Amino acid sequence: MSEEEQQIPPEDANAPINVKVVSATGDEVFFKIKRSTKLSKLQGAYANKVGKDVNSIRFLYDGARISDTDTPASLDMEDNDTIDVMVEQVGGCVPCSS
Amino acid sequence: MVGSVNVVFNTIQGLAEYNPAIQELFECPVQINIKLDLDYQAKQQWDFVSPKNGESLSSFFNVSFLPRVRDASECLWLIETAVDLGSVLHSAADKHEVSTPKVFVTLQQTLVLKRSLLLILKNLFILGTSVIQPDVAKDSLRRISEPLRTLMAFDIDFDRIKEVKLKDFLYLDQKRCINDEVMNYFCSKWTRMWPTKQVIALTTFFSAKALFEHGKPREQVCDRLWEVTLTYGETAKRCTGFSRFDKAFVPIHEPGSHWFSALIDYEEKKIEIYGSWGPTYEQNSGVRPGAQNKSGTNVSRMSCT
Repeated sequence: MSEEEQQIPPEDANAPINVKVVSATGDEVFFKIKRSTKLSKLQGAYANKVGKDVNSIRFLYDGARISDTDTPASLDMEDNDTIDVMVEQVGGCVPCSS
Repeated sequence: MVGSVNVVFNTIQGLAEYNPAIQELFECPVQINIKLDLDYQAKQQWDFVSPKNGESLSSFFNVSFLPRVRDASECLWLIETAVDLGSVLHSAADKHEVSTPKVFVTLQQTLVLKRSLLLILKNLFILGTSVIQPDVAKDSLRRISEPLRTLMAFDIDFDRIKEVKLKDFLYLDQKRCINDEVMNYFCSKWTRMWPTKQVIALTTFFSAKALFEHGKPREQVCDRLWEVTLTYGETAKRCTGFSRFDKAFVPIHEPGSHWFSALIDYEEKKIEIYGSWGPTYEQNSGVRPGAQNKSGTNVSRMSCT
């Protein structure tokens, strides 16, 4: 494992990777992103592309929320990995009849 | 507090002597003192003042409201810097195999906690600056103060809710609704009802992905459920450090604006459903205590936990 890592030239550590963003309905959008770039940038770009408020959508990688400060490197993301997108869900209690 | 801060400064200075790079970072330790003072002030700003008679709303907003949230925002920035510097120091100490003093660790934890509090104030700041019309400003003030009071009353562990923002709680006030962030927060809070058990809360995203498709329950759930459960289960294991689970909360959003939660009990091999449907709750409230417990609504549980 460590041998493999050493073989990778330093430039590759920052080479862009392809990330697939998949919505709940199965629509896919592809992004190319540097491993050191904050994923919040990708989130903004995606929201722009699909015409939604970035605050009303949630991004998940392997079932865990992506926070604003995360980068592909901090999440150990690999080339061609998938990010899930969920839309905000709102619900309430039916008012009790009193 | 001042005493412990001094200890930290001494420690920092001690480390700074050790490494010139750290010394550069901590050139003006006095600033940290200011940070703590500002932080205290920011906490006082939770009490919102109303415009005085005769004072126009726009001038109130510009003169009384905005400067305070701006201070809070500045304070947040300072604290974030302090936390960042703290991490640098932490890793530097690790690198040079210097043990990190306990008091420093505590201070850093406190700062992280306060940062969350201030994040809410920063949201206020954004909201405040985006408001242009006085009428809207008045309404916003009213809307903000209520959820903030609610937040304070809940004794919320801010360290754990970095994803929940002020606007999520605003749903409670305006529409009496709950959104997924709030739901996930409360599910994770419920897991702490059994301190000795290994309880996890899956997220609303789990059920949305595994159980529903195009707003309808999935016709064929098996393959998909297996795959998604594996991913989410592994993530939960990684986050909690549990090797197995005793119970799991599964919050479910039924398309059509309804929340309920399943509680899977692996020990007793049963699944309980906590619905938030008013009439069911009313009906069961009068039946018997056992049944009442099982059908307690999510919403009422929230208000009493």
